[in-house]
Amino acid sequence: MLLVPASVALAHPGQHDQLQQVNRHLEQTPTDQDLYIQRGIIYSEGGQYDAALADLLQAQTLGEPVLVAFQLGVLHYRTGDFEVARDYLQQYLQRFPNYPPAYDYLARIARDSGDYDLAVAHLQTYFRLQERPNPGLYLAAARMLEERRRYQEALAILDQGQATLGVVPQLQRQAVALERARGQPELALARLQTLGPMLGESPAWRLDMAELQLELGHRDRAAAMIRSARETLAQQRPTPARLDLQQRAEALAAGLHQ
Amino acid sequence: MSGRILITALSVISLLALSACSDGGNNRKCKGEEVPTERLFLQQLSDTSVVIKWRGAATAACIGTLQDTLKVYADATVTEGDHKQVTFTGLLPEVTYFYSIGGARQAPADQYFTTHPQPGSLPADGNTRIWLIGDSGTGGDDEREDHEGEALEVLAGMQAYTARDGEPVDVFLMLGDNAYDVGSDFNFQQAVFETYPTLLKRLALWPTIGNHEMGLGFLNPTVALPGFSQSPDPDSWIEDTGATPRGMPYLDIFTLPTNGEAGGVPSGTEQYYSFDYGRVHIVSLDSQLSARDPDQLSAMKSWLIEDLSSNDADWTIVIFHHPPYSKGANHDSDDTEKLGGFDMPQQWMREQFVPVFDQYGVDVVYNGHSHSYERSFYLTNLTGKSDTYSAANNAELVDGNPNRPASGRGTEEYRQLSPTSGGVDDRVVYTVTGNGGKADSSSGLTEASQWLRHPAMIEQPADTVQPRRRGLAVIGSVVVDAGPERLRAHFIDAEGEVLDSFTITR
Repeated sequence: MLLVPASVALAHPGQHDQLQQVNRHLEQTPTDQDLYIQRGIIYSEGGQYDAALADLLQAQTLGEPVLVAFQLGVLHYRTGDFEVARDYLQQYLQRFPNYPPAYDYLARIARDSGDYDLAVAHLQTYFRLQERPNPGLYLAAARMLEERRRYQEALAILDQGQATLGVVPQLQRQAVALERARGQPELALARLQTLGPMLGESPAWRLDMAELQLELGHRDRAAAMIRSARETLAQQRPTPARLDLQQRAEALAAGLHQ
Repeated sequence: MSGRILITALSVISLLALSACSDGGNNRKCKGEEVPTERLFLQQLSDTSVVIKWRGAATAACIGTLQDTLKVYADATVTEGDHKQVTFTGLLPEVTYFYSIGGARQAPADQYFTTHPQPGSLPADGNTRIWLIGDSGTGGDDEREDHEGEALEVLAGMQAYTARDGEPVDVFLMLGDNAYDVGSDFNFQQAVFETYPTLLKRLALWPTIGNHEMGLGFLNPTVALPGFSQSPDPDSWIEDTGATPRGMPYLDIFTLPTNGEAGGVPSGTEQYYSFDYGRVHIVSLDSQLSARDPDQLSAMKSWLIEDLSSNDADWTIVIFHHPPYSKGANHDSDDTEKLGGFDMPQQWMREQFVPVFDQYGVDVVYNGHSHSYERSFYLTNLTGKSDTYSAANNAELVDGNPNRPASGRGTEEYRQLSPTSGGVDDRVVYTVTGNGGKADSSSGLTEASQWLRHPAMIEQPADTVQPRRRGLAVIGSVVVDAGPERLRAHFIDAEGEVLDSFTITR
């Protein structure tokens, strides 16, 4: 049942228009649970939390309370009442156990509460339920672990993501940084090398390689990388990014002789 | 097929290095009958491969370079949304291939495509013609009452324009809001597959995600409004109040590159991707989902930097739905916090991605969302609201005159290596063309005095309002011609007339 038919709903109405629409419908069907939920959501997203709470609590009395639980969870997360938010989300999951956004919010609550282990656990559930996890969520999980200097676990999450999505620079670059942070430049180099073909061995990639080669004391290899990067850059039209790379190449080349 | 290569039967055997990805390979013969489909379209067309996708009873496809003697057979795999799909690899660049659905030896006359030129090579005719339509998805029941036939009028306008020089479109881009009202499979059937059936058999469709692809808003499975989702999660799509959330149909329907299948750097997600057509690099970003989550936005930005760092194409085109600069009806880029932040992606894309476009050599950016046409000056370093724009600081100038921003027309053509920037490629033209299926007739939520008057957009001589505005509230689409020396972009109305154009030279 479409409570507010598409033909009635404006394509992009403002909050005021939305409220007017819902209010019109509420005048006709004042005991409709869905309309109270809808108005509660409009208030919630507009930051009018008291009004939102009143409508959502009213909605609970007009039908199955559990249908309101997810939005009550979101509302309480927004107001910082994490414990209440968590309870509502858990209620919702008992009825709809495979609803990934509920796990996303549980992860946010855990993260904002400082419980990174639990946040990562909820994200793992999210990854299991979500058919197409976005690379950014693997990064989010890895960053929480990195913040606690749990590099090995952070790397494991990034590798899990790449096992699911394929090797992608968003995740592998972060893994390279983690390898360096935990004092493993050789492993960082090995990871960076995997990106070479897909990045077309770009000048940026070659200079990153050179930097790692230098760190490992491989001056000849670093010099070759810098030289080929400079040659390529010299043939390309200048963009601000390429001008920055040229400066970086010069700085690295100068470092070869120190 | 001007300038394309049609190879002879004798050369097929030696040149047709086809191999089918699906089971069955070449062991089975193409000797069945053509089987009708509900929808038939191409995906991931590149210089060496293609995905042929359909819905219907057929379980195989054949391909070949001669319409009457298709030789390579492949069984289909069943994919999400009850689609069938075959991937052919080992194709030759710039060759026209015919195909049949169901295993027929003979291809229907309209079932053919031409593979892309090799990345880095010019097409045989020297020009890459790109058709861009935004917010075009009005061809179905949900918009029939107010916009009956308008998407087809825009299509006819493009066809009238291209008929003049006889050069067909090479690349077909959709800028989001591809299928009103909620981006359901049924919406796509009507607004895309039944609106552009002939084109979709010949060209791969490369789309981006609009707000109306994400169903009803507010993330609640019981109630919501069309086009209002603020969720970054594609699995929270709902078609109707009370429905259980599910994956967005857009991702079930399209088979978009995740692993650089058509060029570009692997993104790991169909939500954003890139591909090459000869010397043109095209990037499709996700301003609807990924932009709404800081971690996902950060990942998309990292990927974009990697992708652009690896790109040395003559021209780079970026598409996404939410315009960083617009004074379109309802979608004022200065007023993004309305509706609880519904239009925040306009601001986030401007603040987070515009500097990347400036730094990494992007030439043109195309958006939809506002149902009108707006085209900017040749801009750099404009990440603030419209009141922060000044020609002196942000626009390409005529003879360095801070009071004369260059128009891109006539003697004021833009140069990729901007003279104003001292010979550096750091400027971008931004175009909003969310009028591929409807045009706004009033300012809506945008202040009436501001409607189509963003100062970074160029005044439009074809506007009928006085004083003339910096936009056009008419339906239409954009045709880009990207050649070795110049990129020319034209806004085409429903009659096929050019109402605006600009040129960037190399």
